[in-house]
Amino acid sequence: MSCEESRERITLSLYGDLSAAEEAALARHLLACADCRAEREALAATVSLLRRLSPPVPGRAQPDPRRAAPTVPDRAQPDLRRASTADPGHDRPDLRRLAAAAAILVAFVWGLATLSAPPRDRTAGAPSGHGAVNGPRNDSAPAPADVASNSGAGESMSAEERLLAASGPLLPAEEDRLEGLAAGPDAALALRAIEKLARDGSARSVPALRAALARPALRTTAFEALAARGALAEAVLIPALRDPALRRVAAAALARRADTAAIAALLAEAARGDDLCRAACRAFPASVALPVLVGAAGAPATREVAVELLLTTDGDTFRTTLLRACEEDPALRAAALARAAHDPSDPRAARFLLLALADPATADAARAAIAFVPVRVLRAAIAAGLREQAMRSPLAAWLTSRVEEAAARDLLASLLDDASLRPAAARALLACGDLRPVPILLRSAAADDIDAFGTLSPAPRRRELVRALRARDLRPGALQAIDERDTALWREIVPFLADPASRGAAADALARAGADDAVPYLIPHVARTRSGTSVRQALTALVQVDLGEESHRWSQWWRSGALR
Amino acid sequence: MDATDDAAVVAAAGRGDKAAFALLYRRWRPLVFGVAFRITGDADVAEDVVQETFLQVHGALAAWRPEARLSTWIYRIAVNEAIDERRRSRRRPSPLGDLPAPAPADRAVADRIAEAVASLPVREKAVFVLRHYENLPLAEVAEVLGIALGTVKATLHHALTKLADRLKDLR
Repeated sequence: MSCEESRERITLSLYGDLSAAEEAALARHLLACADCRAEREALAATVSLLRRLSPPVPGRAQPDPRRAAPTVPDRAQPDLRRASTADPGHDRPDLRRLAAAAAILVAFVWGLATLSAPPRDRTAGAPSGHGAVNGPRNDSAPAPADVASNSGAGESMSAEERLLAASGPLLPAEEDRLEGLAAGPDAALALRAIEKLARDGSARSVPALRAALARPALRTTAFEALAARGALAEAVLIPALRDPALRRVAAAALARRADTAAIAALLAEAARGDDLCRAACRAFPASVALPVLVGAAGAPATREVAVELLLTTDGDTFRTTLLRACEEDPALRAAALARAAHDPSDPRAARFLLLALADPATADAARAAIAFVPVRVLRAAIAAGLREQAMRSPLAAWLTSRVEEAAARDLLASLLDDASLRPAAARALLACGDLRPVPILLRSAAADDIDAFGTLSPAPRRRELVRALRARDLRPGALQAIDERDTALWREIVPFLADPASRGAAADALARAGADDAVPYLIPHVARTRSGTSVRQALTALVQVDLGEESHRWSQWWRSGALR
Repeated sequence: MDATDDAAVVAAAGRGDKAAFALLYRRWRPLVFGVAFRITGDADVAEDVVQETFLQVHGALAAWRPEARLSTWIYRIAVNEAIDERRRSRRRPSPLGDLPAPAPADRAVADRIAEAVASLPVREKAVFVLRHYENLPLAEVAEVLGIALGTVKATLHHALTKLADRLKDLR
């Protein structure tokens, strides 16, 4: 391999873009070529520098945007109230690069062993670029080995080491000593001292921690410690939201403050696309968050994120407040409903849609917004809504309009136990051939329910009536439902004339059915009794003659063949 | 998000479904903004690029075919827009520009890096941003920019060599 080829491959190697065989070939060349090794070190150091200190993309929460799902469910969001360390997204090693770096290392070791060449220096076996390629590392902070090399140099260092290694509360003198180390020129010792003060220091260590904020190598640790003590003002926390190393801690600290300035700052970052700040906004109590969110929802620049938070923060207060704001602001209404209809599988977004449906001021817009959302997607929210008396009627009306969907039919069927909604729900179901309402309507036998049964088409109507007439509990309703469409059913009805309990209803049914054929079966039952009177009235309606309450006069008339 | 999902969303957006287009925007805005910011070095200009990119995407929805990767298509438009926007060098005052900057020392280094990347020739800058910052595989970089894989490899190396030279005092 020539040096020219090698140099292009060095770049590819640093990005993990070489195969294992290419890595091995490159490693063999590097063993033999000092110039290329130097080139590799320079390029690796540059990649490391670019990874560590490139300006962050404002608002970008993760290093790889294609892996950062913008619609991560809220359940996956970190608990910011507990967050206290740097953003792990920035420290996550790329497995592909790890594998590539491991391949280089193996190749080097293999090469060294094969050639029996003694290692020339410690970096030859582990090129300096590895740390950079594998992931960011704070080069201003010492590696453990570096710190170890500083220890044991004398009696005073041993005392410092003992102090730094000890755990538990500090004596005032020890705290003073640590503060001295933290302010000292040795960055490695200073970092360890700050870490120790952060862990075990008392309130008097706060000034030392504040001073450490000015030193880049100590800043993150000091910032975390001060944030944990609640010792950072908003004027410090808010700008830190844009610092990749501090933003998670800053967001958590602001969330703990729970005041309007804090949520306003987080909201501004969230509006720029920062998901971490968006999640932090959810930690605020409604009393603090609502005024800020409603205000932000009214402004086009922050509307999207404010609507998102109002829609999807736990607690109906957020959604009902959004709904009230929507009533007065058509643009906000459109945005909120469109967003909710976007992801109606989120139960909170679905809940908002249903609240909007039940509110006369927003009902029309809500219906339009969810016109294409399948009912099954909203099913859980609807089922919950149907348990609320105030929402049942508007939801039933909307479900009726969606009756072609199986899930809508199931939900409508669940409304059949509500007498006030039953007729409408039953009509919708019967209209699409769903017969679940039939027994419920016939058992109820209320006038509206019988009317609803009347909307059933002829073939299933006849079948269902025959079946119902044979069921004792459905028979009264079935007899009541008989009308002129059911003339052919007279043979099914006549047997019930024999039972005084059903005689009157059966006679009425035969009359309504216009069943002339049933006249000779009715005549024997004319009497002065209540059911006998019903029979007489049925006969009168059928033959247009009234021969009174004497059965023999009707028999005589029948034998005379008057009707036939 | 999978390809089927992408295809469905783009198809719906192409039929004029505003909600689908809004979803597309929400999903891809961070990516577009990231690449635009890296190429232009300016958050405000990057915002302009985002707007222009999605205008282009909206106008060309019908042209996209599901067999093409959506990310590649959007990257291509975003990179072209970012390069054009950089040339135009339009700037607007930032409404959040008065927020305090991060630590001064890091900020100075970050500015040097941004300057060094910005000074790369257009093709080198695009290749470098897509591979280094956006972590795109080389083959996809080639696809986005419409150049050969070998050219991508050589260009990446040239870009990194130049950056190493311009930033050597910071290493």
